[in-house]
Amino acid sequence: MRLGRGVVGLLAVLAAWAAFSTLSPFFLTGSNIVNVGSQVGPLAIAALGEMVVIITGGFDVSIGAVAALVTVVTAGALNAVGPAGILAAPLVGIACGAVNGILVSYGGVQPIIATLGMLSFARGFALILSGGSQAVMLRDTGALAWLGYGQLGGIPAGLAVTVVVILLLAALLLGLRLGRWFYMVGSNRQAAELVGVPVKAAIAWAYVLCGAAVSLTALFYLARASAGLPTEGTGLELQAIAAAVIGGASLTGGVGAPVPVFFGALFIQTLSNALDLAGISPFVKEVVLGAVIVFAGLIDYIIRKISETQPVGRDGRAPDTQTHVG
Amino acid sequence: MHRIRKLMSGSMIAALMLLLVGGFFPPSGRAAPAKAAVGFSMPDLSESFWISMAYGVDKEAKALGVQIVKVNAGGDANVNQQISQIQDLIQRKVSAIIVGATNGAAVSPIVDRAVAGGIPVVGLSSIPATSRIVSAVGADHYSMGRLQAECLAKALGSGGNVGMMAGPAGQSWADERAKGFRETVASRFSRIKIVTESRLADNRNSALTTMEDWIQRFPTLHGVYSATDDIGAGVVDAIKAGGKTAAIKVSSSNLSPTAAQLLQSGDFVCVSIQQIVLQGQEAVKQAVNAARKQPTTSRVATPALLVTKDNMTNLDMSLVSAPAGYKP
Repeated sequence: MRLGRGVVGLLAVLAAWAAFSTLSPFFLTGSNIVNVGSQVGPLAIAALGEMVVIITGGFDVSIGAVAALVTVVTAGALNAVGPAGILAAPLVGIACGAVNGILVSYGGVQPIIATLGMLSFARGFALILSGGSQAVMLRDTGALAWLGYGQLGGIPAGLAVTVVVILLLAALLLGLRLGRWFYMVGSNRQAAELVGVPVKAAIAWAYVLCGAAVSLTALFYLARASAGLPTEGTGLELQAIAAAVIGGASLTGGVGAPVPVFFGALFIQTLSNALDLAGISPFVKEVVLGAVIVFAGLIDYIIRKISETQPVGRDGRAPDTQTHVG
Repeated sequence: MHRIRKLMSGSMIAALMLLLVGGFFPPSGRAAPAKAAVGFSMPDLSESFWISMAYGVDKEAKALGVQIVKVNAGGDANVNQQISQIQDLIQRKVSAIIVGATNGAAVSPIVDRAVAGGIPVVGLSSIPATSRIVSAVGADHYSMGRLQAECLAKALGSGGNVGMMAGPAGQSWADERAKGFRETVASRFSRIKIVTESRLADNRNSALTTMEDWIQRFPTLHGVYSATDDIGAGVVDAIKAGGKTAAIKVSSSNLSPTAAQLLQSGDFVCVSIQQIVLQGQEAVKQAVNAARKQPTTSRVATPALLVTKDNMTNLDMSLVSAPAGYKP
C-alpha cells in the first residue's frame, strides 16, 4: 500500500514537470532543477516532521510559528556567542515539540488545541524577543550560508540535507521499535495499548521529532535571509500538511512514509516555481496553486476507494501492526 | 494483480493531473518565446499601494514594449517566499529585477546574488538594504513634510503652537516626512512653534488617545502635523470629541477614501501625497536602462503633491493610484 502511494507521488511530480516544461522554456533546465532542489528543503523537512505526528493520528499546527521563534533565538545566540549559538536551534525546536507532545499525550489535550496554543505562544515570544516585527540580522552568516545557497558535489544543500533526513527517518520508522509504535498507535490505539506499546511516550516522541525537524527548517530560513524573522512561516503548517497528504499520509493516522511525502513537498515547490517562471498574474497563480493542491489531495481519497473495493481487504495499515498484534 | 491495479490508478491520476495543469493555460502561453523580460517582485498585492505600483509598472512596460514577470510574496511576513521568488526570476533569466522588499535587510543576500549573477536590481519604495542595487526609486518624503508645513502655516495665518504626530519610530519615510516639516517650519515660518512630538502614536487609536492628552496638556494648541492619514483621522476624532474643531487645524499625508472624506468635510486642511503610479513607471525605466547597459540614476524621488478641498476634484490621479478596473 505504501509503495503504491509512493509511486503516485512520483508520477504526480513527473506529470507536473512534463507539463511545465512545455509551459516555460526556463523550467526544465539544469540550473532550474538545482534551483528547485535548493528551495525544497525547508518545506520538505517540515512536511517530514509533520508526517511523523500525522502517523500517530495527530497533527501539529504550530510548526510555522515555532520555526520563526527558532530563527529569532538562534540569530540572537549566534550574534552573542558565535558559532556555538547554532545549538539554540535544536534546543528551542525540541523544547517546543516536547511541550506539544506532553500536553497531547500525558495531558490529554486535543492536538489542535495544544499546538494552536503553542502557535500563539511561539509567535508572540518571537515578536517580543525581536522587539516588534523587526528582523534580527546576523552579524556573520559564516558556514550557515552553505545551507542557504551552497552545493555538495553539484547537489544543492537543501536537497542533500533533505535526503539525509529521509534516510534517518526511514531507518527510524522501519528499523526501530519507536517507529513501529508510531504506526501501531496511529492505526489502533486500543490494540497498541493491549499489546503493551507505551502509547503516551510514543505520541510525545512524535511531537519531539517534529520539533527537531522544524528547527532544521528554521535554519534554512535563517541561512537564506541572514536574519531571524519573527513573522516568517505563516501558513507553513498548512503547506506541510498538504505535502504529507499528497504524499499519501492519512489524516486518520497509521499511514505515511518519508519518500512519498518528500515527493508531495517537491510537487508543491515545483508548482510554485513553475508558476513564477511562467510569468502569469500573481492572483491567477494562487488560484492555480490552490486548485492543483486540492486535486492532488483527492488522490488520497481515490486510492482509498480503490483499495477498499479490493478482495484483499484493508491493507492500509502498516504490515507491522498485523505481525505485532497477531 | 494488486500491484498492477495500483500502478494503473497511479498513471490515471498522473494523466488527469497533466490535463489539469496543461488545461489551465492557453496555448499561446505555453509557446512563450524566450523574450527578454523584467522581473517585478512585490511584497504584498493585497495593499492598494502595491496595486498602484503594479499599474505603473505595467503601464510603462507597455509603453516601452517590455514583458514584465510579476511575483507576489503575499505579505511582508513572507520573506522566505520572496527569496524563493527572486531565485525563480533569476532562473527565468530576466534582464533586470525590480524589488519592493518584504524586509529590506533580509532580502539583501538574494539581491546580492542576483547582481553577482549579472542581473541588475532596482529597489522600489521598500528598498533592499544593499549598496549593489543600480537605482532606488521612491517618493520624496521630505517634500511631503515640507508641503504640510507650507499648508499648515497658511491655515494658521498669524502662527501658533503645533504638535507633531511624527509616525512610527525606525521608519525612514516617517523620519524624512518629519524632517521636511521641522526644517521648513524652522527656516521659513518663525511664528510657528513646535511644542510637542509623539512617535508612539502610529495608528488611529493611539493617535486618538495621544491627542486627547495633548488637548489637556496644551490648551493653546493651534495645529497638528500627522505622518499618515490614519494617524490624522485619530487626531480629528479627538478634536471633535473635545469640541475643538474650530481651534485646531490638522494636516496629513496619503489619500485614502477616509482622508478624502476628511478633506471634503474640512477636518483636514490638506494632505500631501506621493505619486505611486509614477514610481512604478520610473522603476521600469531604470530597470530597462540597466538591462541595456545605459546610465541609471542611483536615487529617483518622485515629486510630492498637495491636495486640498479646492483642488481635489480636478486633480489628475493617473500618476497617483491605479484606476478602479485595473487587475494586476
